[in-house]
Amino acid sequence: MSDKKSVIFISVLIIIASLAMSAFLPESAAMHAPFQMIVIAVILLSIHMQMKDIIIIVMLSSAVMWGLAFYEIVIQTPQLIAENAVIFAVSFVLGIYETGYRDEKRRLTVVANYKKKEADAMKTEIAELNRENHEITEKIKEYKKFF
Amino acid sequence: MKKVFENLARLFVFLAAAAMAASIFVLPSHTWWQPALFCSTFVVVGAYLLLGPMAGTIFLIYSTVLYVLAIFKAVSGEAQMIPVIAGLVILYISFFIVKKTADSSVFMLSSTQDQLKTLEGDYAAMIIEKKNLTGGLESNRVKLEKYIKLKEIYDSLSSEPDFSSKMRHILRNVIDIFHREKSISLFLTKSDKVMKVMADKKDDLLTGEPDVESLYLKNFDEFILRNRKSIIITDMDKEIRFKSEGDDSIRSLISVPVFVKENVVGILRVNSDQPGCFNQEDLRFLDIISSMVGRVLEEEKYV
Repeated sequence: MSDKKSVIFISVLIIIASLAMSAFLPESAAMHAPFQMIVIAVILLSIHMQMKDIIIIVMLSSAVMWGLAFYEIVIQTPQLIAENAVIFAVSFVLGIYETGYRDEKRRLTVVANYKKKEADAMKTEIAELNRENHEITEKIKEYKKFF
Repeated sequence: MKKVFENLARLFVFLAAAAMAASIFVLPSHTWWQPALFCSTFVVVGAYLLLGPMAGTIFLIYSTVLYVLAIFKAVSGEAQMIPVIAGLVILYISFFIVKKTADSSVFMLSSTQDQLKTLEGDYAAMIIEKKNLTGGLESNRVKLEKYIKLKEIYDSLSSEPDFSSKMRHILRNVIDIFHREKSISLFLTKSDKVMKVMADKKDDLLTGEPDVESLYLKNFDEFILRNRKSIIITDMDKEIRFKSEGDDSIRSLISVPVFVKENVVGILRVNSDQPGCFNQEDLRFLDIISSMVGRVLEEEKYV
């Protein structure tokens, strides 16, 4: 399994485990600690996925949590709102960072490609000059032999 | 727009850090502590990514202190211990994943920048190489042109009827190759007598010297005849080996012996009234001319 697939697989496992634990563990003992684990999955997913996809995943997970709240399995809903806000804020920050990183990398790659092309053109010119120089040197050698 | 969002996020990091600490002390219900402490994940991640690794680490320490405070409260029965510990574990796991991700991003960027610097260095080296090559090529072109002219002079010699006109032909055309304000002289020695053939830019040619004084070999000419070596003098005024003998018309010169088989039969000298007119390449070229003159002398059975 590739690195990307492994990371996504682990993240999905964390999300499923988090939601399952939120549903089955008593809220009075664990509070919302299982749900907070989703933030780890979000950080892992941000390595390979775009912010909009991560936000969708977070919204789906939150929807499940709010479903649990609807059935009164989770009753501390004001705290849930705050925790949701934190998870979204983390996703947002990771998104900003990833966007900046990708932009910078793209910019550097474009510059590097341009420099490579420029260097290749220069190499061709130098090869042409070398060839011409070699030809002239050979002719000079012939004349030197003659004299 | 992106900058605005970034700055807003930075501001929220500080606000959340302050609010988190205040919540622990102000909020009455322990059920709010966990969401308040969960804010530390945003604070640490945001600080690390938007303010730098140092800020992230400082906020991690700050959050840890708040968690320790919460643990003390949990020990005293004011809060649940398991959620606080779980929150702390989540915080540290998040921190280390973000650290690893950010480090790898920085590494990727710096390796690309290194690659860029290497490319720039290579390109700068290639510019210098191209400049040198262009200079060398230009010099070789000039050299080749000289050789072509020399070959033409040699080939056209057969049309000259006698020895004297052949010598005149060579010198007149050779000085054209040097094409500066210079004059060329060929001194031929035979039985201790000197014959001079000369050409310059103004006077096309002199085939002999009625004035005995002008046939007088200068000390550097005698040096060449005696030592059978070429010389180059870049500035007569700074020359310590030879005296100028009050003759201001020669400031720089190149001079080579003319051989017929093993014997030195004369010297070939190009001089200028300007200093620094000649280089080693000119000397090598004059050497070739002297061998051509030697060949003509041999063919003409001069010796």
